[in-house]
Amino acid sequence: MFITKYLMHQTPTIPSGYIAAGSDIRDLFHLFQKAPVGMVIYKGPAFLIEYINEKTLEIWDRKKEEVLGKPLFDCFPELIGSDIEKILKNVFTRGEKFRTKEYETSFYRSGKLDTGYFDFSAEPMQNAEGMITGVMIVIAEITGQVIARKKIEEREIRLLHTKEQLELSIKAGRIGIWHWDVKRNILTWSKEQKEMFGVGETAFKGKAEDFYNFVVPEDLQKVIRESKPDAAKQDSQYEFRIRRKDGTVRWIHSRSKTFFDLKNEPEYMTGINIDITEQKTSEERIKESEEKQRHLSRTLEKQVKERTEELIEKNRQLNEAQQIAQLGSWGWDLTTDKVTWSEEMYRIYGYGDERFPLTFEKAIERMEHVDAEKVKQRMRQHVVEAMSVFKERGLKEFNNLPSEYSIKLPNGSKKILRGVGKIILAGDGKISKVIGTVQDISEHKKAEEELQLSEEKFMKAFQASPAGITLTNTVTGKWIDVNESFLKITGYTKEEVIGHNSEELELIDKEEREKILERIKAPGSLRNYEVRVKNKNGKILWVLNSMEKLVIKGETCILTILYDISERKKAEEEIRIVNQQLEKQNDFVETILNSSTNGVTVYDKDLRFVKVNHAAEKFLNKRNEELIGKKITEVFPEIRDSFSYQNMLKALAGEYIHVNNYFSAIANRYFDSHLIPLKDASGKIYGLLTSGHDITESIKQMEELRKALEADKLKSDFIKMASHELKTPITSIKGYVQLLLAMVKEKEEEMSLSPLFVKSSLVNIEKQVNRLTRLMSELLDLSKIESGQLQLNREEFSMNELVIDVVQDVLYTNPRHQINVYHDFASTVWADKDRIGQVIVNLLTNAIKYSPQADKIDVMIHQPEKNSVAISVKDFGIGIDKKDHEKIFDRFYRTEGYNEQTYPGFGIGLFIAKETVKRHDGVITVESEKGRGSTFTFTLPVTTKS
Amino acid sequence: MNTSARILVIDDDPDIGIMIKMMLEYKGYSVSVAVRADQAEEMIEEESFDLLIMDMLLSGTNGIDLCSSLKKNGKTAHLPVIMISAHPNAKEICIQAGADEFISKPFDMQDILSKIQHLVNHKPA
Repeated sequence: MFITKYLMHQTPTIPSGYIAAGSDIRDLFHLFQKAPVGMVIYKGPAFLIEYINEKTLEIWDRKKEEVLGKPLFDCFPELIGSDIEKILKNVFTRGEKFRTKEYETSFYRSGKLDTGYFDFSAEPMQNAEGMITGVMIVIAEITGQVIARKKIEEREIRLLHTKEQLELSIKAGRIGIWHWDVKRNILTWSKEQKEMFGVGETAFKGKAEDFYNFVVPEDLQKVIRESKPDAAKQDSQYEFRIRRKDGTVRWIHSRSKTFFDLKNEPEYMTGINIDITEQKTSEERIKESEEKQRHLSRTLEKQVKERTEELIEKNRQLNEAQQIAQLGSWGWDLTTDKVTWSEEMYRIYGYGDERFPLTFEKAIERMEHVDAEKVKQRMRQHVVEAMSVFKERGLKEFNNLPSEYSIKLPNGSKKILRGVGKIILAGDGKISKVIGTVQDISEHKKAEEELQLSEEKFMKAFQASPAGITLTNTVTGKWIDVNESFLKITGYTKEEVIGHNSEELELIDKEEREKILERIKAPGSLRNYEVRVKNKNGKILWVLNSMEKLVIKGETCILTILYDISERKKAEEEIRIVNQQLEKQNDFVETILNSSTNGVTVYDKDLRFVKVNHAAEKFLNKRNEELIGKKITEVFPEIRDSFSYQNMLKALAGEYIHVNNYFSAIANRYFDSHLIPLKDASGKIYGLLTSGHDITESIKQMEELRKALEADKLKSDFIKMASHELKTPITSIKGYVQLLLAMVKEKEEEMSLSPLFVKSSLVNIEKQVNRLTRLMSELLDLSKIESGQLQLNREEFSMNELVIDVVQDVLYTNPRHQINVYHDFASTVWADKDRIGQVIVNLLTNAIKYSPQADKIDVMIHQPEKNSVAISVKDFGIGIDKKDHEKIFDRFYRTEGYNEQTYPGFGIGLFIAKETVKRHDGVITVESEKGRGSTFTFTLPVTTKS
Repeated sequence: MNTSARILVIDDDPDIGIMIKMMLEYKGYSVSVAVRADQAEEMIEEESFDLLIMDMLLSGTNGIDLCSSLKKNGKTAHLPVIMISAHPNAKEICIQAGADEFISKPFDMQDILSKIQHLVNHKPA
């Protein structure tokens, strides 16, 4: 620590008289540190900060580490060159004390440049030898006080001013004072205020709204805004106009102040209104006159410009201007032929500094040859004219008119000059001399040429334009000028047009004309307006019209540009007609498409639906809106894996695909469909057309036909088979009968007929007859069943007894087989005995037929459930394959036998059995396996007797 | 009349076979009966016959095929064949198959006997 260092290394020489004996020096330093004023000691010419107390650090807003031991001006570089520096340096070098109050200085503090007021003193520090070693500063910041004081001063001054103004104004009677109780909305006006606003004592009611009533509408919004009590602005000042009851308008300047209560809500406003009408009006008048001045000067400018332009136009003015300008002048003595030139002449003629005596010939040397000749001729002419004039009128002078000619300078450049001459006659009537002036008008000529050129250009454009251009006088509507194209379009000649107006020529329909004039009135121009125009031959043309108001030489004219667009209009009309036709065609195609029963669908190359006709909508069961624009795979995702999708892709690749019998899962119908790729003119495929013809009905019909044919075939097969079957027993019968007959015949001749043979033959015959009978009755039954005529003759009988009878009959004709009957259940039934007998016979004969190897057949009568009886016929024959279990009960079904032996019979036995059992409310079933015999069982309901 | 002619009757309905046998035996022919084509072929092999009477519809190899094969076979081609059928339109097919005669069922005894006689007589003894 610096202080301690000081303590340790130097014994202080303390002036006596200021410190009590025995006191601790460290207390002194404590005092130094905590003093309420800032104290700093700078050491050396560099003003190293040797000692600094806390207050100083506070004032400076620095930390001691930042400043201690550093030069002052390193810490406050902004003070370099300042008065502070000067003062300190002064103190250090001269040893003069410095003291000041309210010293204003600026330095960087708290991160910004701050201004402060300080009382400070600076004293030199001396060492023992009297050398100045440093400067001691005592500094107190009084910024706050100073600022506060200044504020008060200002305010006082302002207050004084205001007070004075107020007094004055009030004296002048031009200040109104008002007071507004915000919360209760009570407005109070002073006498002057009421006078200002032109109300009498009693005429003012006293609410804020009553004040507003005076404000002119344009200023009302501003006033309301400004006069609102607002915590953000306490004072307000604004100007506005009022209209008094007498109708006069006054400008009012208003100032007010808002006072807030403790809750910071506006409590009352008080203010003054000053009538500043005079000021305002004079302000305005000044503005007006300034504006007038400006306008005036602008007008003047314009006029001057126009004037100047006029000047340029006229040749005579050019002459005058020439006279002001530098002219070369010349003189020609006719007697001596000597020519004298002015300096300017030499310069004009490009002779530079050359000066030489001139003759007439020399003078015209540089003129272009042609011009030289002309000039000579003209001079002679003029001389002659002058002479005659002199003779006639005795004039002594004769001015010749200015002539223009060109000269060529040796450097190749040309100039155009204008010369004017005067012939002076001597007293004796002889020409004595000619004098004149010459001016270089090359530039002027150029400008003239350019102007001419641009005028020519304009005229060319005007004339050459394919658009008709006209200039009409606004007032009379008569044509001032028209171009060729206009005449061509309208068919008139210039003479027929100029000076007349469009009404006279009936160019435009009256109403149209009025319309156009209306439209051009306000904006002063009209653009691209289509209108019909009648040309000289009476033909109606369509014209595109653009017009502009112009002022030419003070006259208001209308410049019109028009194009004949009849062709275009015609083309437009044709297009419209074609479009109409296309529309019609479109509608026609639409109608055709939608009336077709074929489902027609158009897809784009991404298989998005583009067009779907009504039929297709139905097939797909979707409306147009649900399809158009969507990909087919979006709407029917299942189609992706289908064959039809593959076909579509193939078609898109260019293949023409025809599927003549395709089942659509989506539509659930059969189609004859075509997939056609759509190609544009260049052959590129842009889409796909599918057309599907619904053939579901015809497919169905074909199916039915096929079934019918099959049935037919079956029938005809049956008939064939049946007749074959019938013929077989008949053959036997016939054979035996014929044989017997032959034998009987022979018996009459010889005795060879054996009774044994006769018996066996007759037995055989009977057998065959039975077989035939059975066949016949089967056939009959079949036809009865077919025609629904099967009738049952029911009676009550014992099932068991019937079985026994039937078995006996069968055994009689089939002795080889052993038929066992098992009566597990005794029952009576209410049924058609014959037919049930037939069923049992049928089952038995089948059993016999289909078990040629085995001999045993079991018949079982049992009770499967309450109230019914079952008869089962079991054989041990060839059996029936499971797949045929259903089929065997069908009509005409005959099994192929073992080794493909066909078994005799119609194949309708089981069918009839099934029908019979069914009619009796019973069921017939089969249990069988191929090669392992069969068990046929049928059930019947029993009567109550058990 | 060559009464020792041997005739083979082939019909899958045994009743018919027996009836024809009765009929022909009354007339003095020697008759054998077969119910199946394969059976018939065996018998033809073992014994010599002078005439075959076969039903067109047989089970297994049918009459048509049997007749064709017999006629093609050198050993049996000479055997005269009478074909029987209940189908009236079968004549063409039977003749085409090689049958020498055709009879439809039910047949007349005289008719079949005369046909047999005709064929047997023409056969070289």
